[in-house]
Amino acid sequence: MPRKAQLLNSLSRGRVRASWNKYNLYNLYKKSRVNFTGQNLYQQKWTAKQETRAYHGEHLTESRFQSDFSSKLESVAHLDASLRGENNVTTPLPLQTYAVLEKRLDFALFRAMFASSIRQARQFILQGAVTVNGINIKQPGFTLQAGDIFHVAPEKVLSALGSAKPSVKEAVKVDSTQIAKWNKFVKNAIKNPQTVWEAKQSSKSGEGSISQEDKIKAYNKGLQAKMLAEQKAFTRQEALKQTIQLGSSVEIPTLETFQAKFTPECAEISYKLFQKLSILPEFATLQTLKAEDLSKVLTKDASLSGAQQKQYSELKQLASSLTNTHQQALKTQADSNMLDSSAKTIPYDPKWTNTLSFHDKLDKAAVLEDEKSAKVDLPWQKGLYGRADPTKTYFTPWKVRPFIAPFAILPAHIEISFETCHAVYMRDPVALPGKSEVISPFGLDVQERAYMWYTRRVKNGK
Amino acid sequence: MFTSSQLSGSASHLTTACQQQVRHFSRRRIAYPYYPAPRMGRTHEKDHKTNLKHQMNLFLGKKNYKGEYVGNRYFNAPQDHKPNYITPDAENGSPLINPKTGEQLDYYGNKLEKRESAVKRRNPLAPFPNNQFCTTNFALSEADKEEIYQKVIVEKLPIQEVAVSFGLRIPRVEAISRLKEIEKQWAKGKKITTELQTMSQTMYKMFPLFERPLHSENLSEIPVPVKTLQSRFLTIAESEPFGPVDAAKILGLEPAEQTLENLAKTGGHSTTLKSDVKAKEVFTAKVEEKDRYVFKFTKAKVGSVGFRYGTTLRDNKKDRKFTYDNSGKMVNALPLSG
Repeated sequence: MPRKAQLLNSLSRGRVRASWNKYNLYNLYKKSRVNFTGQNLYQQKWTAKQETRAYHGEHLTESRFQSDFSSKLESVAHLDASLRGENNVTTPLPLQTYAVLEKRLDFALFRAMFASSIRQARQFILQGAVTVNGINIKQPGFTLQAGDIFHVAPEKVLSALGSAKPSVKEAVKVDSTQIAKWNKFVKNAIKNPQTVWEAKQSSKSGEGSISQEDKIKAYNKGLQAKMLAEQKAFTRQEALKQTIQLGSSVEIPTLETFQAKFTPECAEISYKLFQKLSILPEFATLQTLKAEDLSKVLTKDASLSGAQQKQYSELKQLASSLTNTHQQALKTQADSNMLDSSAKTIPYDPKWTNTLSFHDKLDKAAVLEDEKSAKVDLPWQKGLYGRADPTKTYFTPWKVRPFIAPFAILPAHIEISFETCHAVYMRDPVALPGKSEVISPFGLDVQERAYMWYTRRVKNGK
Repeated sequence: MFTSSQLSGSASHLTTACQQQVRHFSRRRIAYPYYPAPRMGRTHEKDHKTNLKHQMNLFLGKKNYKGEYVGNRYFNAPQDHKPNYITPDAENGSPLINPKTGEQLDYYGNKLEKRESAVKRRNPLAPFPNNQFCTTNFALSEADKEEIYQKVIVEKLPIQEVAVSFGLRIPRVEAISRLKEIEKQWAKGKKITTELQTMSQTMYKMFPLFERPLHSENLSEIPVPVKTLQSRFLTIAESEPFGPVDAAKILGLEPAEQTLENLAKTGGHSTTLKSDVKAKEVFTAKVEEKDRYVFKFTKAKVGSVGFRYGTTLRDNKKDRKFTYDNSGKMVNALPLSG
């Protein structure tokens, strides 16, 4: 049985625990170096033991820990360095005092960052979410051996590493604020598009905001997408339709009429096409047709005479060449508009507010009654805040938990694959010259005294 | 009861009185921050917040409407392979930043004056200010992992060779290729969800990257023998030459070079050791017509299996031995034959 979890993160006790809790972060942050001045040896050892045990296996009872404790400290030497006579780097041997605990499965899980505290790692094991070498292990104290491969159910890891899922009430509150802010932004943008655009461009660049490079990338991507859509829309039928429209817009069409919409090259083809179309007997009916219905001009009609068929095939050719040339022109235009990665500013587009639209307010009562009735469709978020998939136990779409940075320590004795939630326990952590593989917030002086405490007390310290 | 201020007289008298005084006195001190932190001041009488809670709120900074502490520099996970570990001494106990500009602030919103001496002293890869021996490891890039996988699993090059070319220890090379294999299997079975991908990418970008010649691990590591941890005295003539090899002989150890060679062969790793477990000799006894049972005999060495009649099972002792059976169940270990 573990010890009772009482006042683990008490601010006034200020003990450091093996956990990513934000209270624990503050306790770690405000912790001074352990002070031994004015204490006799017994007091020093006691203090050291008290401080270190609060971090190393706090959930284990003293007798459980003492029966695991080994007074033999593992270290390695660097042969090449010692041959060169460079033995001046200290090997922090006392930092191995708690190395025996690192062999335990629950510790390995925490070190591999599959759980946010050792107590949580313990829970994962007891819940049957952990396998070692493919075998489900339910003992948190299972001793790992070098080469063992362990795995935690991905859902557990995602929930341990992810942000907390907000309740419906919290999500509605956040979304109401977000919607109000968005509507204010849209209103403002429609009123003064250029000022808002410029403010948007110059808004910088704290953590989490978009870098200039990404902005340029997004801009280029938008151009590309727009170009592709235009290319796709400009079919042969559309070419015919636009030609007829342009030609009929004035009484006597000239080349200039077509240049209003097309490049000079395309305008020429378009002009030719219009001339051919206008001599057709059914030209008047063609003018009234929609683009889709114009396809009959482009299909072969066997009932027609040879001369007429030739006429139609010419039309078809011209329409095809207009389509191709125009699509090519669109591409060249888009390419010339693309921004270089070194560009400082993104050109102002006066129509940028056209895509913006106001968002409907959330009906709080209805959403609280039935979560599915919430319709949130903001540019950066679909669905309720943090509840895109309410069946999950964590914030969706997945987002890393807050304040993880100070605790993200990659262990030297475990190799981790986060993608599959597998990890290999490579070896028991050891002390190396100038380095210790046992992760601990306490320095050499403290651990040395803790070792003195236990090595005296544990009878058969192996 | 006296208090020390009430006491007068000689120094010795004072000391004895003090010792009597502190007999039932709690030595527990409130763990206030070691750096100067603003105190709460007067609050409403119904406000029961403590000074520490107040100081913690100052530490966390303001919450925005989403409940995020964006004004705290440890809130967001770093995404540029540069770990963001705590530096309370360098920043005078204020982790606050301006979320828009990233500029560090003190508790009063002024620009922070960093303590250069403390900044210089710190190793950016050491997560804990009081333990400089503990540092984070380097993560391998996807390309490196793929290359190791190709060399070890596909091309079947000797692991030692790959380890030397990458500057990684043999167990790590082995572990990377095993994990890569699993990743490939999962990718094939479409088990890697977008959420897992986001998670692994976020985690990957939090750790420093391994650069090949710069961060190579030392491949000439040998475990320190216990015998060398204690002093041994030997009287020899002053003129007699005495070197490490002679010392090894006296301590009854093999030369370090030999140890290193053996380690390279076995990889210092249990997976390679597992392969040379010999198949046990098994035979079934001759079955007579009337026999109800078939007896199967497995060859074993006395002492290594089973236990002799009368040996006590220490299953009620606190340091009882236990092992795990093939299904992963914890069972009491059989005693060594006694």
